[in-house]
Amino acid sequence: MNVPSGLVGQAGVTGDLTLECGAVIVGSGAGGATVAAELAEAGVDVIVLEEGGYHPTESFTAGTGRALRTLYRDGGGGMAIGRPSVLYAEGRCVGGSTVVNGGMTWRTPARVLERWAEREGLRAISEQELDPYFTAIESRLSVGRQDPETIGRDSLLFRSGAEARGWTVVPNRRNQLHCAGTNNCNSGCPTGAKRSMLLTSVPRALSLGARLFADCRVDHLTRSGRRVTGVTGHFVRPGGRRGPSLTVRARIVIVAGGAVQTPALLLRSGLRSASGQLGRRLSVHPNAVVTGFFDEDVTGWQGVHQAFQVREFVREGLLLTATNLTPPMLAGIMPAYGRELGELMADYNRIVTAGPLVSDTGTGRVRNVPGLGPQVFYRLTDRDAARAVRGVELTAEALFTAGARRVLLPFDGAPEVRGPDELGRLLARPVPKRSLRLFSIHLMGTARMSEDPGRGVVDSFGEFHGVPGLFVTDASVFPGPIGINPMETVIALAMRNARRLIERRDRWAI
Amino acid sequence: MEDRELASPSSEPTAAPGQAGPEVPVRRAARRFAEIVCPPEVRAGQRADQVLHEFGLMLGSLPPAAGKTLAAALVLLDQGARLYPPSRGRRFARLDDRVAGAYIRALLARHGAAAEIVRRLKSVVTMCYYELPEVQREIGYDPGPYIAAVSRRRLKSYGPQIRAGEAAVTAPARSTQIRSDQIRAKPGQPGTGEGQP
Repeated sequence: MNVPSGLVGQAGVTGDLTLECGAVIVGSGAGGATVAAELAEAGVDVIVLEEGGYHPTESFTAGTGRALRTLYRDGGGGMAIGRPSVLYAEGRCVGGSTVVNGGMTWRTPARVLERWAEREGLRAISEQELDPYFTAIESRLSVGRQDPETIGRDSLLFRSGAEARGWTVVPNRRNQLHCAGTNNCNSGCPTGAKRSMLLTSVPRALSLGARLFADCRVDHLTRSGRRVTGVTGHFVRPGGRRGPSLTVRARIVIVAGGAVQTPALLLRSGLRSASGQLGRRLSVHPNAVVTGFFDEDVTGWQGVHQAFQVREFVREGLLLTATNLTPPMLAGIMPAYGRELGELMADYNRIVTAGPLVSDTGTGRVRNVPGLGPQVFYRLTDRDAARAVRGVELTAEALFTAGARRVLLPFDGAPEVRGPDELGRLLARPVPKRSLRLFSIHLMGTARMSEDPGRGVVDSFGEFHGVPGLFVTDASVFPGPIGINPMETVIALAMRNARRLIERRDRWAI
Repeated sequence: MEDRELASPSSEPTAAPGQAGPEVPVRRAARRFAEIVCPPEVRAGQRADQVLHEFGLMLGSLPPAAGKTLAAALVLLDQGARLYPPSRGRRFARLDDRVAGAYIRALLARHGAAAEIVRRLKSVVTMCYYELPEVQREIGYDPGPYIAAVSRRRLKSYGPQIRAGEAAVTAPARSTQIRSDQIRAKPGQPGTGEGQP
């Protein structure tokens, strides 16, 4: 296996290490890899620490179990505890969640940026001010529409149902270089077409002199007085065994571990925010899956993971989309078992899976629980529950319009529904909130930006209020949900924050 | 596939070579649980063993506390059946299919933490079953040849553009010219904005 120069995994480390650098970056996903490449290009001595392993494109297969075990944290089985609980998944590998996401690459909606600027006093965050960053990202990551021959029948059917109902449907913009449509996004793109951080900003940073240590878990930040001075951590051996220790002394520390791990690291390092918001205000964009069964052959796995989005209900905080799930993933969420599960799964090639994404108003919290590590708690509001049910209803309507004969709804104990009339009758009765089966892949907002230290954790450029030399650059800085796939926003803010650091590099002596 | 996993340079929080799988009481309960929650064909050939193998790997990928919780939940599920009246004091692994199925159905119908854990177990075990290549082929899912074919098509159709795009990754970036005092785009011209919500 050809490991890039500058990248060291646990196997390459035989004893404890102590290193020095200008900037140490915790995490190699959308935020961490981007800021690493920008700083390295400016000549900053950069070290990136990634808890997950290095898994190159050649290692990616269609094996869901293998992917969950190697590319995701905790086998992809995170749970935000609440009523109902919300399952969530986070990437944990070199490249972070960009290796396992669907590649949807959308600019931050203007109305969201306006809201953030107005409520939090954020600077340099208007649509116009971020435009150069969005433009650069879209060029570097080859963002564009899907080649038509790679769009699967499941996406076309769902679009036909939505359009027949008069709804607005847009083609997805994805970071892909002529995606082949393997539908393997969530297990790692086997062709390298998806321009994840693994294939873009990570190799770019390494080519510019950055060093990256994989399999390296950061335990704590180190401080001298108020100022952070670096990090301590350890390498993780196969089987999760503890390996050699690592100490990095750095002029600045940039934390980019995502909306769960970032606050967890900061909290266990003894940091507190004057606003009391560190670890709080978690948004999750709850998703639900509706399964539609068609008479015709769909073979949804032959085509891109997700090709379109229904935008008709954005003002209600709902996005609808069809996304194909592999057999293990689908079986895992099916509300059936035994013989019944076998009968449902026998129709795998005649299934379309689709569902809503809810721009949530409820919030959650990340806490470090002794003996258990970071735990996520989330409270789904009645309003969001109602919107989730509304999104499920709309999705089912689109599936029926497209020709589905029956659908399964993501509510505990819900019967199979065989047409719009049955759907209407079923949903005329209240759906208990606790019966909703929800999951999330968009976690945001636990170290929120605000110019007001009494409201936020970091300032407009990601600097932790009151802790010189400490920065956060991942989705945890979002002051609220953005209602759309967050990757491009994370990257744009990371680029912008890196430029700010470079302009003020004398202050930090980097 | 597992050889490739173990040959990787990275630590993978899966069971290391020679590392023991779930202990006997857990395996016993897990096997019976798989026979009930998976389709009946799980009893064919070596499938139940293969599911247990996959299940062991999945448990190994969880944080230690979560893995122990699921393993303990299986043992509790096994012994808890003694309190289920139709079981007549037998544990889950000894129940016939009808009573075992009814027991699982009763657990899943509840609300609360216990039902949530049984649902998680059911989810993980059925995922492991549908991870088996022969089961996938039976339902018409065989992605290997398809991925190979579309990968070839991609290279044949777009080879030069792909190579140019890949080479651009380490080329000097125009974006390095962006400074915060230069990011004043003309009002009303916020880039492509195509399809923006």
